[in-house]
Amino acid sequence: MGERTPLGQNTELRFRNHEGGEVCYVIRNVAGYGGTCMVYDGYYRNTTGARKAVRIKECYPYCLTVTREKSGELRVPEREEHRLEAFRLQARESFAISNELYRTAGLSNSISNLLDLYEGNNTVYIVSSYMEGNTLAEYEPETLLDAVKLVSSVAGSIGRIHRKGYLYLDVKPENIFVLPETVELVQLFDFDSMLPMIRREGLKEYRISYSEGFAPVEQKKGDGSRLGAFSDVYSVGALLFFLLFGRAPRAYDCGGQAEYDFGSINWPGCYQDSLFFEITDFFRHTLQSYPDDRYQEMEEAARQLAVIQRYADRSIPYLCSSVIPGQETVIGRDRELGALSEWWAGGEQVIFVSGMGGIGKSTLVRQFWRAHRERMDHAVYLYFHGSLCETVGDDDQLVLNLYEKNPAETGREYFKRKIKGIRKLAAGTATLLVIDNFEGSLDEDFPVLLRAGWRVIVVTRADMEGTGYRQLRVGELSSQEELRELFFAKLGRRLEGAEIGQLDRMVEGVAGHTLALELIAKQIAGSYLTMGQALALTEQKGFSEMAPERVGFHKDGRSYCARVPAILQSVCGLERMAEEKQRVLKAVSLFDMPGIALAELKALLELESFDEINELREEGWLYVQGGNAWLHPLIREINHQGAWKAGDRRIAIREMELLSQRLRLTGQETKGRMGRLSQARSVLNCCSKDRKLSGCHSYKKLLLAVVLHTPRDQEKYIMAQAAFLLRHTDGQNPKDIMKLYDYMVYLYCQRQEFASARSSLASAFRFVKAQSDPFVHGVYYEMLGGYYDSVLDGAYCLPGRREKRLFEKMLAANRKAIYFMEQAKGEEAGPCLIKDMLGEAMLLIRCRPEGAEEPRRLIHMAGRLIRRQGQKETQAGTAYDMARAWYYTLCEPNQALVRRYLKKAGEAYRAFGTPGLDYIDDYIVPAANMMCELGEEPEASRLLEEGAARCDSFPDMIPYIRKKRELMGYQRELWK
Amino acid sequence: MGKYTDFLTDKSYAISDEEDYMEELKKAAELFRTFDGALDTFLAEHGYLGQLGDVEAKLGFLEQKLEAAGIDAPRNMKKWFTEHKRIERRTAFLICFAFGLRVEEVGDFFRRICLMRSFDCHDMEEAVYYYAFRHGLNYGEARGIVDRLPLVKAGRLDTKDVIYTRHLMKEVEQIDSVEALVAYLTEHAGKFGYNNATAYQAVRIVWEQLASPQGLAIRERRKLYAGFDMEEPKTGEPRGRKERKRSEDSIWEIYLQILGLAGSQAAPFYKNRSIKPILRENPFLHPFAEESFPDRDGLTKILNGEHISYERVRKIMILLVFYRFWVDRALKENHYSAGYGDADRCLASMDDFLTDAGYPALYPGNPYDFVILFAIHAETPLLTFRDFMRELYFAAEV
Repeated sequence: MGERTPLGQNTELRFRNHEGGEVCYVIRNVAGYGGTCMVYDGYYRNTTGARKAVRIKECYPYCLTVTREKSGELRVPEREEHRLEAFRLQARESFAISNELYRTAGLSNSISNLLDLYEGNNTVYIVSSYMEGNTLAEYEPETLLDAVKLVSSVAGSIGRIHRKGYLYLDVKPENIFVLPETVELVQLFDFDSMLPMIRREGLKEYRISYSEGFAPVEQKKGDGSRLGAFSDVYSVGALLFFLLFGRAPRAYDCGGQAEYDFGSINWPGCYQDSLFFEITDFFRHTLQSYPDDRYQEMEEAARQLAVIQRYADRSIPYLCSSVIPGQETVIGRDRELGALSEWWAGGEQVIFVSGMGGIGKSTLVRQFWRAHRERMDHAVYLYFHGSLCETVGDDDQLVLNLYEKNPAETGREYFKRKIKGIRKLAAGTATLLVIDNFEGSLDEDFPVLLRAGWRVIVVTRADMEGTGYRQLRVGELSSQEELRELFFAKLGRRLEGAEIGQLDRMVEGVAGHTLALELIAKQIAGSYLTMGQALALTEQKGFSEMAPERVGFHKDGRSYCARVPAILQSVCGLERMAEEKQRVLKAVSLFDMPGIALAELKALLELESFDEINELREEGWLYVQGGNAWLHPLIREINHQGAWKAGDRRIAIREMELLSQRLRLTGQETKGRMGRLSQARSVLNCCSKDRKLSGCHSYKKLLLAVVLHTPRDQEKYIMAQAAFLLRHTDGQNPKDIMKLYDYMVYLYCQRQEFASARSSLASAFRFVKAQSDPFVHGVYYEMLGGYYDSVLDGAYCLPGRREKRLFEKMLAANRKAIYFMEQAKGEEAGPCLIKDMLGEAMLLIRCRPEGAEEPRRLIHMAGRLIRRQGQKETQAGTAYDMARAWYYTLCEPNQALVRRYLKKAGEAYRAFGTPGLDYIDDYIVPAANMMCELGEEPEASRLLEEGAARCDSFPDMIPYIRKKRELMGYQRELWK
Repeated sequence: MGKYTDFLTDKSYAISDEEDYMEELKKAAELFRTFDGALDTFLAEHGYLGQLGDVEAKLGFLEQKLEAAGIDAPRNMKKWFTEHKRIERRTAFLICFAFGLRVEEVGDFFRRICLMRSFDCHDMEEAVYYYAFRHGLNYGEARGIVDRLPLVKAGRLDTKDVIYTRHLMKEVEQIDSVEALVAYLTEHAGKFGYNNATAYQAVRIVWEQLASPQGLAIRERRKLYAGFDMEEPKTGEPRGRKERKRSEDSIWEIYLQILGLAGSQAAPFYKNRSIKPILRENPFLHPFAEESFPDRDGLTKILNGEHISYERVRKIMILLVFYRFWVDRALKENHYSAGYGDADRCLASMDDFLTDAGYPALYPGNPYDFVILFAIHAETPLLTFRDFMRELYFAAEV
């Protein structure tokens, strides 16, 4: 039932022709099965007796229940007889139409020649001439041009059928016969689906057979009334698609949103620039679901195919443009893009786009490229390697069709020949050449390059100022808003509230560097960090070591997924740099902003001249400003990731020794101390990343010096480092160790952590016992006295039993300190002795103002020592003024003198640049106290307010918060 | 097109012009015929001469047809008419066999009467039925072939070696004998472990266009999308953990965006990442539309190549193609209004996707399709669809 039985081999089909004569065809084999027919290869004998091959189509519908009798006759049940008759009628019509078309001028060669139609076996047979060749389903065009020519030929034939008033409606490779040795001509066969173009109104429910993948949606939906020339237009588009991509198009290949991957066509290679644009345009007007969006006439499709043919021709020289894939997130850069557009609109041939690595130069140029590409005839994007000769001569990068290097010619000869060839194509056209990552020099090849007549953008790190060419410097994004937007885009979400503040700090940390921000954002997203965590990690380890997860990254048109340090190394390309220059960069990377003085750097590196430094500056690696050399945070980060060589370590050690010495020389002078401290901390931070350096003596020595000179508002840092240093006291100066204990005890007392302070004192005492230096002992007793003072908390005049005992202990400790300091030698002992004497004097003044003699004696002695040691302009001298002010407050009240000494001391403290907390403790609080004692409460209050205002400048720092609270307590007491 | 379809098509045009379109949609939802209503039309077209309101007579007619074709009558047939129950695919095939339908008629029966796709040749049983209807085999003969075939379980779709339904149909069409069919099906049993391959491929490609880093959805989110946010945001209040975890390129977030529900209002659905509570028994949504409504889970399964029902795939595909079309236009034009011919353009594209996947074209008699058609014909199709979804949200009072 319904299973088709073909005629057997050598079956003879005998028919009567028009004149009544008998014709006989012999079946050789089945050539194919169609929906409505079976096709056989056969033959007949001509009058000479020779066999003439023919093709015989038997009307034998698949969808009917047809049986073949032994006689060869086809039978259907009675209920289907009318349907079989309809198919027979269709075959007769198809034959008639085909014959009519065959006789039409211009179609004879495009339509298979149907010889005759016969009736027999209760069906219809159509005999056609046999042709050598293959259908397009089996034929493989050799070139893309051949494929386009074949489709053009099909379009031409269908167009002529349309002009004759018919729709073909079954364009598919199986229905197209390719003649041997030509692609200019094809033959169509199978006209069973053809419909007249008029009279389609009654065809709303008319079901036309169609071939999957080659029929438009209106045909697939079976709505005959909506068919038109545009329906065949769709199929012609589908045919070209099939030949290009080896498959029929699907719904997602149609419409304005479809994207075509021309990288996967059957004939990959480099073609003329416009080819794929024109093919896409062809598909946009053929492969459309909506008929109105297609070419309405086949002639329009044929015209576009002719255009495509021109561009598919690879037998002529042409310049292949580069392809820049996809979109990139470009935020801001309006000024720079405007500058490039202005350059493009003007007449200058060359522009250099310069700036540091990873700042976004290439992204900017690619964005310009995308925006202007349609207005360019050719556009070539090259990545510089070696030299201009090598880069331009590289046929993989710059394809000039039909050009390749002759083994006999040198690279320079080929470069010149190629430029000459390009000149013929580029002259008078809008052709752009971009050379990215340019690291070469403007040698004699550069003018040769320009002779090609193209406009050239050179992307380079180097500063090209002074070369006579236009330069566009690309720096960080200028607006904070843009930097934030960039970050949001890379992070994949927007930030709000406190997170914005954290982001701004990160932006500041990388100086707004775009690549660094991109990597941070991706790392946060990929490592599921909160902004708070990310900020802490960035500040602690550097942004590149924030987390171990790999992040995605695009560079030079390729995608990578790697850890951030590896990405940075790849962007930077440090490994390609000369060793001497690498050494310079490594040394400069020790220093945070504002960098290192040039003379100092030269001495440190033992350079004979500034040549290397200048070259690095010109190449955009290093900045020189205000006599200092410094690196961008990103370049610093990259240098920190790089391995330390022995030479680099020697330089780092030398610098640490130098800085230790300088800090020591700075002593208690606060002027310039912060700058040195910052420099030293930057060096320490950098060296801490190397195990050998962080374990060496110089490192610990410098760290100790830094801690001792760090203002106590940074107590967190001090405590952390002190703990490390006190575990590693070997080889360190005992005096410095004691100062460190002193600092620790002081800070514990400030924090009211007296148990910890006692523990540190005990530890210090164990250390002191092993020392013979009186100074070390003196320092111990100073700290002990300081401890008692803190515990007493100013309760000198309310001597309960406990206070009295503590006070006595404090005085005893102070006296021991004076005793040991008097015996101590060395420069440091003098100021300490003065300080201890004045300290005792002030204690006595405050607790026993009636006994003025002893304080006066101590102040007098201190004054003498100050003059003798030339300490008048030091902190010891200022303490002397403060002691005198106390004296005239409580012992011999004299407001004028008090104000005079206070004014002097205040000016001195400020002139020293005394850190905030020290200024409050050493000047503001005692001065307010004195004013209160003198009955000048408003003045005392003003001073306390001044202190509180200073604390407000550091709203996030706990020591200042604590201090403010203390000042407010005084303020309340004042007005009680 | 039948009168019913014409009526609903006109309705889908007219509603978008209405001021209070939600009420109109609600009324329209009541107009959709039930399965038994559609079956009545079918019976009348195929020889039933009795009263359409006479359930017993219709049952008798159906039983007689089934019996004549040697098919046992399905259970609970009466409930089709008394409780408006829908039927399963197998039952639908039984009716087709009973009425001796031709291949094209089977397709129509599935599309118009059952609101289902026709033959799915990735199902071995349906491939046999396809062969049987083409060759006029009766049900018994068809079952005889099915019984000779190996058992195949539904598996994960491997996109690397996929055989599309159309291709399988073509192969089946080339087979001229039962023996050849059995041999072919047995030999290629591996091709029958999955279905909807064309649709899966299409959904994945469209999804890639929407959800890639520079995709349409991401671009819309940054450029045009107005979030479904609380009317009065509680400023200064720390955002919840769930809200912070939002990533604009997640399937759930884009899914919500397509529906117009992405925003702080949608927070209650984050836990289960499902909008079922909005859809369930919503007065504005017909139960047929609610059934297999596009969901995040279904979308994820398609992207992972996991099997889901035909109806779910089709609805997801319609939603994505609808969104892709209109968001692409919106991004190009910088506004959401439809241009001249855009509605027809969208319909053509939609039908192309559906027919390409072997699914019925958009059919206004299908309540889900009706909503999409109604939106397509609006002045701002995407916004209208989103407004509809938001109205569903408010009507659901979640």
